[in-house]
Amino acid sequence: MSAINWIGRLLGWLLLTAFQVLVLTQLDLGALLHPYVFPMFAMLLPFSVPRWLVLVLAFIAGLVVDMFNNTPGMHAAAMVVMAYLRPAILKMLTPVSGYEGIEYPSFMRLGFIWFLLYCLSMAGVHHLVYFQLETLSWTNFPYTLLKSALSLLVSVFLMINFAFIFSSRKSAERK
Amino acid sequence: MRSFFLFLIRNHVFFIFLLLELTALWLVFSNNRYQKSAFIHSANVVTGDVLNTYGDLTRYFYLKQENDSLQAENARLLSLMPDATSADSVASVAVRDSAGAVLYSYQPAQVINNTYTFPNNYITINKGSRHGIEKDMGVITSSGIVGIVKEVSPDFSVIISVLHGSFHTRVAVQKNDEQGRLVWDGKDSRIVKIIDVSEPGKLEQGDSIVTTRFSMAFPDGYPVGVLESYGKETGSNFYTLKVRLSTDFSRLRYVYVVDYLLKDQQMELELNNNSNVGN
Repeated sequence: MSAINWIGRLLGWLLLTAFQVLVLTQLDLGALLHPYVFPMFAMLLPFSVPRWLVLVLAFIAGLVVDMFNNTPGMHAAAMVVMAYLRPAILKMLTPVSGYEGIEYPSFMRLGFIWFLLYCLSMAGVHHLVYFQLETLSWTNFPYTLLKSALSLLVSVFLMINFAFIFSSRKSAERK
Repeated sequence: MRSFFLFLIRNHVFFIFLLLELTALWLVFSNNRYQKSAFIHSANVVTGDVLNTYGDLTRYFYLKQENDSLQAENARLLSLMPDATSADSVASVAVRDSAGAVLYSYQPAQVINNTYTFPNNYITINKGSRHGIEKDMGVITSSGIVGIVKEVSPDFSVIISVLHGSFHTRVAVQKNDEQGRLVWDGKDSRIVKIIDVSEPGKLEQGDSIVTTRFSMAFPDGYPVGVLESYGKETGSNFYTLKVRLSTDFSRLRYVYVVDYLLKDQQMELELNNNSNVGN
């Protein structure tokens, strides 16, 4: 992995975080729709990044959003659970040809359906943990579940759009 | 010992996971118990500056709306001038006690971060301890109450919004001074409930709800909202009032932090009194 690669990822993370806290959180889509796209940063880390580093980066990314949103620890907790389950989810979704020669969970290399399932399961974990911590009660669980599911649909829609924009820009650079 | 280290190294991913997760959960729960979380909030140097700069940029889009509301506020204040009211009017002495001392001072501030669709909402403003803002001060806007200061840094403050699970204040029906506790159930950002009202008497839709002097955060008699409906709680002797807030949290831009200048005096007196009763 080259140094340029890491700078690009850092910029991507800053962009996602800024979009999350300055635009998405400020939007009023009602009490049931709270989309979160920043988990994408940890989702798209290269396969070669060691597991412990994925955990640490996910924790930091969550904590930064927590600071802006005044939700101390909630996103960090959700991100760490998501990052811990990442290898299991990747294994569950292993394509027939495996991940050989693929650098990171890419929409271009692994296909739309694969990417959709990956986003749904990873962001699904994040959303469930986060919304459960936000309400901190089990009596409202059906409501939390509904909120997670509806928000997840919007989040994944936005993630796919982001992935599309980034990958088309990258392929344009290659030409 | 050697095998213990080998065990740690072999399972290092799990232990790092455990460490990070417990740290995060500790932050979640320690904050819920109202302990001071050192820096994880939107009033620290980095988050405050980013939000403030972004606020400066976007504020221009709301200038017209803001002018209208400031003009309306000016008009309201003009109507409170001594010339505009008769000598025995209560409103004109609202900020002074009978001896003529100033009771409240107001610090204007701009909202740089605000949510109102979460189960617990916070507001960040661009004034802090350098401007004399302290924890537990009340925050109001021209139309109604906003919240209570929770965290203060030199240049920014975080406010617990009225739309927050742990926000409580005593309010009263203006016309007959029947009191109760204002709470928010986390659903509609325009509706709050007043609980524990013992005997509300005959009320009508549209009756004004105001703050009481029992809350040291807000000036006495400041608007909170208007009555929507009310009824007796099942299995209880108390009534619950449904109230439409007069503050529109979706367009919160300019607020005032209320400093009740006699707060220390009043609190000291009440504490002394309580300890005497205890003896």
